[in-house]
Amino acid sequence: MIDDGSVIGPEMGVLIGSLWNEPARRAKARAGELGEMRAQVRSARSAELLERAQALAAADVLETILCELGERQPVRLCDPAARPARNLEYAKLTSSHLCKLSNGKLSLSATDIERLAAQNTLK
Amino acid sequence: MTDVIGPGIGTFIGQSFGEAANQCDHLAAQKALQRGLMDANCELLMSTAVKDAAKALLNAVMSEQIAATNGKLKARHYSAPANVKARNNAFVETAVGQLGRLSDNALGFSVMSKNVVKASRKELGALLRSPATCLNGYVVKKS
Repeated sequence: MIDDGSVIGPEMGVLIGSLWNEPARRAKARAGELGEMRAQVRSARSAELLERAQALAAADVLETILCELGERQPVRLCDPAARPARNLEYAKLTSSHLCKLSNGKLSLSATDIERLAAQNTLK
Repeated sequence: MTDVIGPGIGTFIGQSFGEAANQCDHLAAQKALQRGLMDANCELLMSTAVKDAAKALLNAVMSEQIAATNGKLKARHYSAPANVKARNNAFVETAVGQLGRLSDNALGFSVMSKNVVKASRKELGALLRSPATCLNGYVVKKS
């Protein structure tokens, strides 16, 4: 009710209601947009950690092979026939490095480890 | 009739000012996140290139070992345990090429980070474990 006794009709009420709601609606849309971007950043960071973990795992397998070739360790991974063992070791080390790099937040499940090993990306 | 500016008008004016400020804050946050996303993607490409190079080196060592087992290798190069220099050079060159391919030549490793790895006499694992030598400096060649 306004002073002169006239009544704000439903049209005005709808307008006021939508104006009142507008900032909240925009804030929600903005929050959604920023949330999506944050999720993309998080996803890229996780993927980066996985790549780094894989690089470290490959370097560890390489070191083991070089130790075996230098006869500082018994032959296990450098045997050409041990390709499945090399790939399994690589997958397990990837999981362990991923866990360390992410302070325990990320790791590979047993199925992921098997899948990574089954890709046979190492000779 | 007395004209009274009711509390509603003041509220809407306040909301408009607030909205403009919110929009500014939003644009600043969006810009910061875009920068963060770009950095994260560049670092992802760099890490992928490093991983691919490490695996390629490991496969080169195993290729020599397989050839040696089959009696077809004349001399060991990458698989000679003492030949750290050849391995580190091959690792850097492969990573550089791979980063160029992955980023369509938009990214490259910094000269310093390449030289640090090439000059080092440490094995790859030790290099990658240390933040100072893990080939983590990149330059944006084109945006």
